[in-house]
Amino acid sequence: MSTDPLLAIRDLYVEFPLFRRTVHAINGCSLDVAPGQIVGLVGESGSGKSVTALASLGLVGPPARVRGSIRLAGHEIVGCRDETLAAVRGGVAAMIFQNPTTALNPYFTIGRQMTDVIRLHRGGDVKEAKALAARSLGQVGLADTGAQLHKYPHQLSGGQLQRVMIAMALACRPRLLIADEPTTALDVTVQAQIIVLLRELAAQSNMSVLFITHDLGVVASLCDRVTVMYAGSVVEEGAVSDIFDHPAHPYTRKLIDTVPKLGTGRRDFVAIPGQVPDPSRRPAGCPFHPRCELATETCAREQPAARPVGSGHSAVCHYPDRPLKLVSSRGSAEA
Amino acid sequence: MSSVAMVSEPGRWRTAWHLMSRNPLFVAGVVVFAVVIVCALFAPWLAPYEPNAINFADKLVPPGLAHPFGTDDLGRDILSRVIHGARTSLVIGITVLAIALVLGIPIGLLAGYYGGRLDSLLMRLTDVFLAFPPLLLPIAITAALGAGLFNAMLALAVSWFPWYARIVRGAVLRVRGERYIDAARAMGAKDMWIMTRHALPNSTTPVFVQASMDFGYTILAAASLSFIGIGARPPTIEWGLMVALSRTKFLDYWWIAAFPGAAIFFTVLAVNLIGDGLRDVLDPRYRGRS
Repeated sequence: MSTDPLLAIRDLYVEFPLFRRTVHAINGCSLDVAPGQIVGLVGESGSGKSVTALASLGLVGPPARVRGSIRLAGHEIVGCRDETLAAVRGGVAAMIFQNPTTALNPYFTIGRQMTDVIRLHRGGDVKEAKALAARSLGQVGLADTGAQLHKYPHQLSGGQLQRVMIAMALACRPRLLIADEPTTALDVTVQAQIIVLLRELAAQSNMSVLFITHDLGVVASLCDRVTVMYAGSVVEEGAVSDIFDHPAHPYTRKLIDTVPKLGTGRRDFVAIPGQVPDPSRRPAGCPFHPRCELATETCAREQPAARPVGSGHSAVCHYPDRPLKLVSSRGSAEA
Repeated sequence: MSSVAMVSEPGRWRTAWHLMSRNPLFVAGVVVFAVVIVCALFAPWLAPYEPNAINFADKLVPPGLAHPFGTDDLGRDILSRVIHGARTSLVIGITVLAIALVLGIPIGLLAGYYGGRLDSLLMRLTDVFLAFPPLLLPIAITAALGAGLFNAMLALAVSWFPWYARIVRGAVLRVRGERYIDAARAMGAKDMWIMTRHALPNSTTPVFVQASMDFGYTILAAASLSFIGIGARPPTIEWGLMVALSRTKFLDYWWIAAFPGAAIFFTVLAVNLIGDGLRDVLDPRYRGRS
């Protein structure tokens, strides 16, 4: 990578101490987002995607323990002061959330909340902020922006609200947008519109996006690079085409297999046997080994390191090149 | 467009009014309380006599045409005094609640928002005030500060604020987990901003309801303090004090105690009916139950 990454996460650990045990939510996650890049962060529920996103903005506070390094546009986020955080949040990096219907305060109009945020970062008077808010709403494709500004959140649909959230995030011209499953709560057609919108807006303003999702289809259509997480650690990282065409880590391969494909004549769903390990009782060695058919004694003992499997493509596995037994019917369908 | 306007701000109040107007007890409460407010605002013009004018020629006159509520042992017109007493009662209710809210809301907000040790500290402090029997603490405080209406109000407020602190804390605890709080923080909002702009406005409904119910109790408690002699002092016209001063005579001259007592009764009842009605409308848990 030639340019300095905008967001660089190195060896991030996040732990939540509970009464008798400790939940290890993130275990040594490393991740880069270059300027202008759209990076997908993929994994099942509980794999630590959202915690990684929240930690990137310093939103994981006590009692959680955060170790490692998160550098966001030159600011170290881990252990930094509240003033730095307040300046970074919204200004350098903004975030949008999974369920837009709960992410806005029901008590105030859209316009009021947008102007509040705009004035927080850019100062200026209410009139300017209002004009900017209306412009941003227009940018995200909402019609009749003047009227929208006077509405309350409950008067808009989920898709409209997500557009409002995006407009709000973009109004302060952040260099990074962290999108935590922004389309999961929306129906499929609206989902597609939001994806297209995000891609256009990112290209227009050369903004980076960290896009968190469990939807591989969305990743394939939106992202430049993909990071796959499993049980709090990164298992594979690479360009979208590499990950989808030559997945190296057994987990990634199985994950791609689980996506039902049209036109293959298959009606059964492929599942990965077993369950995500309890984050307070992580297995020794590779976290995936209890569910991995390639697992050996080495896997149960030693934690694998990231090893390159191609240019700009690495997998955290002891045996990234060994073929899997054929669970997938992909081969047979093609045959 | 019209369907949108229905749910916007003025519509919300219209809906609330529609819901409330179907509750006859609430309407009755509003009417009685409106009479009290009118009495308080226009007492000098409404009262037929000077409330403190002593007239020994007409002392202890039973209710009649000249004196609809009769006169007391100093010949003062009881109707005029009851009308003027409305002022004192409203001032007491408003002042006590204002002080209690000013103390209670910030404490509850800080405790609920920050949680942890600050929460424990603030809540244990308020628990100290809650540990006393309801009327004993104001009595003790007034006794220590010296009798008088203002001290009585201060004492009542001090014994009342813990309830508001707890209510606000509970509401803020509920709101604190909401996504829009995280979202606001992710947009760079600072704690103070989040507390005042997001946490507080979404926590006011239960406080509002509680305050409307407490208004009556405050008047009642102040009257009780006056009755036992540590509240309002004689030149002040206060209903509780009027009942207290009639103590030695009301067995023979019932009207001296009955009318100020009835004024307390109806005012407190009206305020409670209003509080109930507000709760029914504002608190969705009670909506459509009665």
